[in-house]
Amino acid sequence: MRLLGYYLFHTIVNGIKKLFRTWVAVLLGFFVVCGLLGGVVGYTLGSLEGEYSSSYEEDTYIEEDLPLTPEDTAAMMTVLEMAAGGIILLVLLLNVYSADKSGTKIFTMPDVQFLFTAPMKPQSVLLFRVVLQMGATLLASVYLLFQIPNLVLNLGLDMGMVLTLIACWILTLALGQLLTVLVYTLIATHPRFRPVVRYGVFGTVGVLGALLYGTMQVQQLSLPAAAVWLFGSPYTRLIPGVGWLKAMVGFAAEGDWLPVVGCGLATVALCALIVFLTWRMKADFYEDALAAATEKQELLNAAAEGRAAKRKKERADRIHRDVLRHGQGGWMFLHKGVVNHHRFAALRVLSPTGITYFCVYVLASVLILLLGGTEEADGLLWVPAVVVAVIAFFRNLGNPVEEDMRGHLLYLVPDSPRKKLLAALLAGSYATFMDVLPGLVVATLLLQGSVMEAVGWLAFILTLDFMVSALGLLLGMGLPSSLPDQVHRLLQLMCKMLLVMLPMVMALVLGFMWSVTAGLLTAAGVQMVLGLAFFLPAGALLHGGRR
Amino acid sequence: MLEVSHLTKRYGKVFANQNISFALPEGSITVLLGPNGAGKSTTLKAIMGFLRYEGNITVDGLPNKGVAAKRLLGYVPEMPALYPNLTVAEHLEFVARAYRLKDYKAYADELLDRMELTDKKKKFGDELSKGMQQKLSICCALLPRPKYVLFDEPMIGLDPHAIKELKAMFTEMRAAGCTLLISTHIIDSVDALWDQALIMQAGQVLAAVDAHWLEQAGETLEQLFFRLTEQSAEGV
Repeated sequence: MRLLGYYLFHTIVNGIKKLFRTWVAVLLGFFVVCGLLGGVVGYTLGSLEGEYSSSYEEDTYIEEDLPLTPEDTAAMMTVLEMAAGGIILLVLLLNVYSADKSGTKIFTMPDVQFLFTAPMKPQSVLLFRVVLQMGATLLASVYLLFQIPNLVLNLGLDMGMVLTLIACWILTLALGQLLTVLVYTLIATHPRFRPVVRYGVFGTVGVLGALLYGTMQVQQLSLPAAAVWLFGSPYTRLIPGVGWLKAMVGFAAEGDWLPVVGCGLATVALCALIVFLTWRMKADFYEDALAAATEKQELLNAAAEGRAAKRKKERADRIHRDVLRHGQGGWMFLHKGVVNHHRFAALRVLSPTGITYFCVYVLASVLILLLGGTEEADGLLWVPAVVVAVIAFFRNLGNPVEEDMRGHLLYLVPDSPRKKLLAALLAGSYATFMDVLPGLVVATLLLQGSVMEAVGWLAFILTLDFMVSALGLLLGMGLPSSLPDQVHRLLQLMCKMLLVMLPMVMALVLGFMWSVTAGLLTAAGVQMVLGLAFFLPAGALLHGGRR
Repeated sequence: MLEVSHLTKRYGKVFANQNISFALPEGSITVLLGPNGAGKSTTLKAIMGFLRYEGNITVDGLPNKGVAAKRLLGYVPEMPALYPNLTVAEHLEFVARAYRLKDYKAYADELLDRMELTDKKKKFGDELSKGMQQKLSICCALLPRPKYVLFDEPMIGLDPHAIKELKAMFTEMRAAGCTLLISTHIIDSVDALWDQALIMQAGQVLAAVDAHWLEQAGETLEQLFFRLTEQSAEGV
């Protein structure tokens, strides 16, 4: 613990010291001040509104909503608990499934030199890193505390419920991380268990699906009713881990606080048991960890030295290797992007991202059709489109031209900086267009949606991608390279989250007031303008804006 | 004594080490020579317990992967890697805590002084040049005063003064009873330092010779190295 505390304290303090050596501290200060001002203004407006509405209520008769029946309340609670259970199960299964890779990835090369060589059990070394990761998770969860007023005031949840939700989330993350460690220790030491774990995860999902189908058939119930019958049963609260965590939410919704505490404590005990099992297990994972740490170090060195990292595997022979023959000057970056997109795509059309988008569109559309039928599906194209827009946004959290900058290619090509950057950005837009289009077309056909709305979604997602990429470019060029990666990522995320609010609100307001297509096209126009506004100064940052 | 017995390490069908056996006599310097890809680094990593392998490795009779054996071992990797958010002084403090050392401060200062890092104490890991990182890596490995120290290409990246100082430290450590295993492919860098040499190629030890025997045979280490490795490459 002394070692962990020492490392943690100095890493955090030194990280902050490094941060304050750069102008980014001013930017972070700006965000904090904005947050505080926003809070004060919001609180003041809220108080004024409260006073106004109480005086208004005295004078006017307000038609009250019909009170919920006990059956409605019970149904809502069951759905809430089931949703929580679904999310918890998903998080835990993902942790187990990815344990092989994520377990190895937690180590860095300095760990090899300083911890693997030290007189410590491998489990201690592993727990050192895991505790650090859990600390980082907890630190990130502090953000949730700021959401308490929002959840209490806007969603009308009581304080106990909000605290339970936060505690449940933190416990889920902790349990997931410890499961990762346990599974990783097991499969790294006994590789024969690797397929068992993989098939076990798929098997669990399969068994749950089979149980659901069986319930539908035996009880003669619809899909939602069968799901409630099966997963909403009070007996599911007895399942260790998932059941206890979802029971916390269920009992909190019922206002029964003692079992909430009991379930929370039981989960903590389960976490302790997992730590104990990990500790007792014979562990020999240094070889895999060393390989992963070496690979990571190679990437870090490549980034620091401005060169591309060596590929781990050779590309397959079927890939076209001699097609990069066109494109002049700066436009070469556009041509390179287009060629590479098709070069590595399945059937020369669908990139891995395109396949993901396609699956999202098709699965969401099929689910809508299964649950609601063709009549209910009318006007629901927004469901898969929103999911794809969110994925497109989160895929775009870095600097889009980072690879070209690392290889110095962007600096070396003798052409106008703006032309080079525009070409690189347009290459990204082309890839997004090719990724989004096939799925969107299929979803529109399946859901019999409006063509104009589909065009609106395409324009919205493309311009969203362009705007976020342009901001990423500006930040990537403007932020000091000495900043830690985490700070780079944090700033990119914060700025982009703030930026996306404006077009999102516009699309929503106009969508409700007028039509979805109008809202989407207006928001697309705004995104295009904002994207250009970010792109123009970025050009000036690349070798002083001169040719 | 550090003993390696029938060490075999395979990556798929490729043998990185093939049935290697040797022992390091106490208070001696052994050099592990070989061309690139001979399996030198793999041997060191196997001794340090980083790899899964066939065979047996013991340190003073203790299994090398155990906590007790690790107290006796020190390791300087080929590529130094430091924590970017810890300073030079904090790296040493970190090592001292990991090994639960007491009264180490004077020795830490001495090591930093000899490696000319005293004025860099407050520099962060990622602010040091490659050579300085290597120097700090050496200081960290030597701080717990291990009985056996494994050096993987220790001279690479060091300036002439540091190389001279490191060579002096090798001799001092041997005099103090410490056992060193130095892996290198630059024969000149270990000239006149070694007591035993292991010449490796293609994962196998071609020869294990001691300095007196070679001297009496009237051959230099360089001559022996080229004679054996070139013969082996030609399949003689």
